[in-house]
Amino acid sequence: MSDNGGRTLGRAAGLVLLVGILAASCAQSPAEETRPEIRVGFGGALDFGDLAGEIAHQQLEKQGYRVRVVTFASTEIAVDALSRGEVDFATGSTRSFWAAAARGAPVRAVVEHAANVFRLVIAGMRQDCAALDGQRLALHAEGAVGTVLARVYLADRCPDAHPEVLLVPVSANRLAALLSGSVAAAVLKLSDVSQVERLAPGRFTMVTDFGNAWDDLKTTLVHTNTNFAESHPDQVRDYVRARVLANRQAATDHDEVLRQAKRVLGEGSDWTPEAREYAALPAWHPDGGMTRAELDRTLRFMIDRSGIDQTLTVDRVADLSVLEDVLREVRAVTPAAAATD
Amino acid sequence: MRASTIWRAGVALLLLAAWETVARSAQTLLLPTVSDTMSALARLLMSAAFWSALWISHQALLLGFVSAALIGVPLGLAFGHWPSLGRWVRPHLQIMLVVPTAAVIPLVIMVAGLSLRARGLVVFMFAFPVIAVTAEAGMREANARLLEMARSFGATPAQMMWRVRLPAAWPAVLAGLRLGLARAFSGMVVGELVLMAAGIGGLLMKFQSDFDAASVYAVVAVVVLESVVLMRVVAVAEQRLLGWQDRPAFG
Repeated sequence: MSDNGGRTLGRAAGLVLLVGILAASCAQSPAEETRPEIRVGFGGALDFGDLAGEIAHQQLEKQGYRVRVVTFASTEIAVDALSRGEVDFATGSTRSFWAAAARGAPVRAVVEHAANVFRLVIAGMRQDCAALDGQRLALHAEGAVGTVLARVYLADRCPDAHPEVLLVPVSANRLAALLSGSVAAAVLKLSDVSQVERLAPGRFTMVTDFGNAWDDLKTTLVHTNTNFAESHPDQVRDYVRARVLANRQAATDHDEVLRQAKRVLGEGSDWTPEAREYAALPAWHPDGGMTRAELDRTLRFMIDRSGIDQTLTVDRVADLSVLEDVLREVRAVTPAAAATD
Repeated sequence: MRASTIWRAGVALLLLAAWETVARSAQTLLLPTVSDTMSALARLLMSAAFWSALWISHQALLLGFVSAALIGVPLGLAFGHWPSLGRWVRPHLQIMLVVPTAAVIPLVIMVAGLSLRARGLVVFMFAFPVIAVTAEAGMREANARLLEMARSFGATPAQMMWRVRLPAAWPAVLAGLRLGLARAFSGMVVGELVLMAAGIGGLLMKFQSDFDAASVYAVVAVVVLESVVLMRVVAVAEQRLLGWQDRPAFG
């Protein structure tokens, strides 16, 4: 065969192989195609607080759903994807979703994702907030829940301390700054606090637990698209039910939480301390963690302290009816939720 | 009015019309209309916070870009002059060009903390490799016939360097500075978005968190406009300085 002929044959074989690979990657089995799909967006890399959600997703898979988790670079992108219907549910900072709702985005909260797990930690042993005075304090970006809580905390409960506030948007970079001594204090999620303790035992002290200071503040909720909710009420109900049941399982079944932690977050660490701490809070509420009174207080807080639209109402940012239906079905286990039942 | 100017204006208007149409039909929180962006731009230019943010960002830009130019040009020329040194360093410069910035940010924090120095270092990391690589290429690719001719006329090594090699590398150096400036602007904003939210980056994040897309685009427009103007200034300087050369500008 001539050189040209061989080259042509080679190209044709390459082309056939490429088409084959493309077809195989696009093709779905008939069973996959018929299963209803639920698309869930996360506003950042998954962390420990997301594990109850992962348990719920596996339960939904067992019920016949296909769950597609999409991790976005920021909550703002997740909110936009939800409002355009590119995902059916999304989680992230409550403030971001409600700021979007104020601009007309069709998003409503349906269940809590995880409780308020923000902590203020500082280098050294002093636990009083006066220790923050003159120190460099790393916060998330302006508008983020952790930053709002820190600013309110400093203004209301520690007015004499005047730290130098630095906004460090990426959680890993805040940790790096804290560990390298570039900042003396930082607001971290509980899972990050555990990591700091693992990496530098005894070097840092918790100044305050924002979860205790504002225990009824809903910092991270699951939102759905209202158009999706109208056209797929059963899927929304199944999703909220799965989340509530997964929260209950996560509170008692540490082995399952640890299994999920290893699957989602990696085998490299011992996640037992996090599993214990998140269950003890509890980070995942057995009744879905969202009552009208709590939402109302959260909304007032966001309006008064983080500058979101004053005309927002609970009904414009949340739809409690699905959770209430689910709790009637699976029975509420806490007095507050039972009272709204 | 020249035909090319009319064409350019026409294309610009067409692009703006397409942007307006897409933004009105896209139903997204992140893409504003042209009209909203223009209003936001007018508001922004009147705001003291914007000018303050711009100044904060430009401190890092100046620090990083000037350092990159002062270190990158001589180093690049040296690498070009001593090819064995260049062969050893070139892969490292290429790694610097392609390495994802977000991945090295924790390292930047360890080295420079969270300060103006750290933001300047990010700008430096963006601009330095382009400046050094281009200067190195300019030095390495000096016209062999010119070098041969200078040698045959008995030029000393110093004369070869100052009269032949450096003037030959000059277009590449200026092109490298122009490209490095463009990269420095990117580095300035990226550093403030990923390392610490200060200046323009801080302002962008604030507007993003409020879904004020028009203000986000207005800030971006100012940064783009400024970088285009500055690059044009460098290009004009390049033409003036290299007017004696009949070869096309490098890059």
